[in-house]
Amino acid sequence: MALEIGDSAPDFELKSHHEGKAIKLSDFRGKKNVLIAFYPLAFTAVCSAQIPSYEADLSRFEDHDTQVLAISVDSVPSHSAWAKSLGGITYDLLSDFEPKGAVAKEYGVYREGAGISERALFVIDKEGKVVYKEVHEISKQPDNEVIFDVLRKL
Amino acid sequence: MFRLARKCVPFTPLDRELAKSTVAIVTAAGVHQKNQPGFNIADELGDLTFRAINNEVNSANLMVTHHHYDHTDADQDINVVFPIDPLRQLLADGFIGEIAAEHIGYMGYTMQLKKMYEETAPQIAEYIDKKTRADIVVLTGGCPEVCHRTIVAVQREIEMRGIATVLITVSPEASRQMRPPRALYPNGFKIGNALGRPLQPNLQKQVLRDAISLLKEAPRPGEIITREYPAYLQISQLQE
Repeated sequence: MALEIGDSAPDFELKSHHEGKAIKLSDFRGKKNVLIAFYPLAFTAVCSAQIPSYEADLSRFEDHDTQVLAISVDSVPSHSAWAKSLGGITYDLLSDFEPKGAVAKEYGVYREGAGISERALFVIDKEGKVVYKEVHEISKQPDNEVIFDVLRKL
Repeated sequence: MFRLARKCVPFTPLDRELAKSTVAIVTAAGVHQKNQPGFNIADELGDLTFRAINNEVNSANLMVTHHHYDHTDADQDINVVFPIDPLRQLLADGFIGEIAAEHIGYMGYTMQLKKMYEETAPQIAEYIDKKTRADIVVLTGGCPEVCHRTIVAVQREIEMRGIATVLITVSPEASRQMRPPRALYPNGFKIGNALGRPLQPNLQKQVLRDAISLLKEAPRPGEIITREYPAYLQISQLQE
């Protein structure tokens, strides 16, 4: 069932490209808002523009007390190699690798048959509620300013 | 540290007449003089340097180093992305007052966006501000996504220094997200054809003239104005 605004965000624990460190969504509960950016695949064109765009805007996310977590079905080594090719990504790229796409499925944004997730954004507030959800056209890069509008009102 | 949201669009009104204004070009399309080192396309992170292009240069002595768009047309006629000859024609017509002593070319594709936004873009703006005496800057992109975003970052930095700018974009969706102070979209023009096709000097001049004219039409900052150019589309249909 699709996750909707107002729902509690399902907790997850996934491995980061930073040495495979385990990251739990609930670690941020009561501390930070979280932008969860599901993206289809590492090393692809639009993702390679979208993911660095969060890095470039990271200080603005921090100004809004917000942690960025990007999630795809790629493996940790693949994420690590990609992050290096992007000049370094300091926030966490998380691997929804095994069981494949389990978190994307729980959030209702897994593309069955294609084996990838949608290009989907969720903003989770400090109480762990979904306050924003948008599934984007897969070929289009989302506009970060839309997210800042949401964060400004939290 | 305060950071300007992109939703806030910097805007410098052009106070002087076009016919008394000095115009410079800034392009993200990887243009440089043939006697200058090319951009480093071996590094997939991109190249954050830029080249100052002398206004006296013959357009035949300009070239493109960029590997993220098809620049075959620019190889044939550099004016499709760097309209130096149409600018000279507008000067001869008395439409503008002067051409800046130098222009800027850089390769707008980079994965080092933070450095591009925080270092290269302000450096280009400073160069334009201090070295060119430009009153107006016309900007063009290269590749469809990243170039058409970084060029707006450069445009906004220039505008914040009190110099009026106008972007000619052929990737309006990408440019729009970065909020250009002023922009013209020649409807249907493909990537690598910001000014039209090679050897279409009248069309190139018309597009450039329309872009510069936006400085006196005061569109809403951040808005991209779409214009139709049948001469471009007619040739497209013939080629199909």
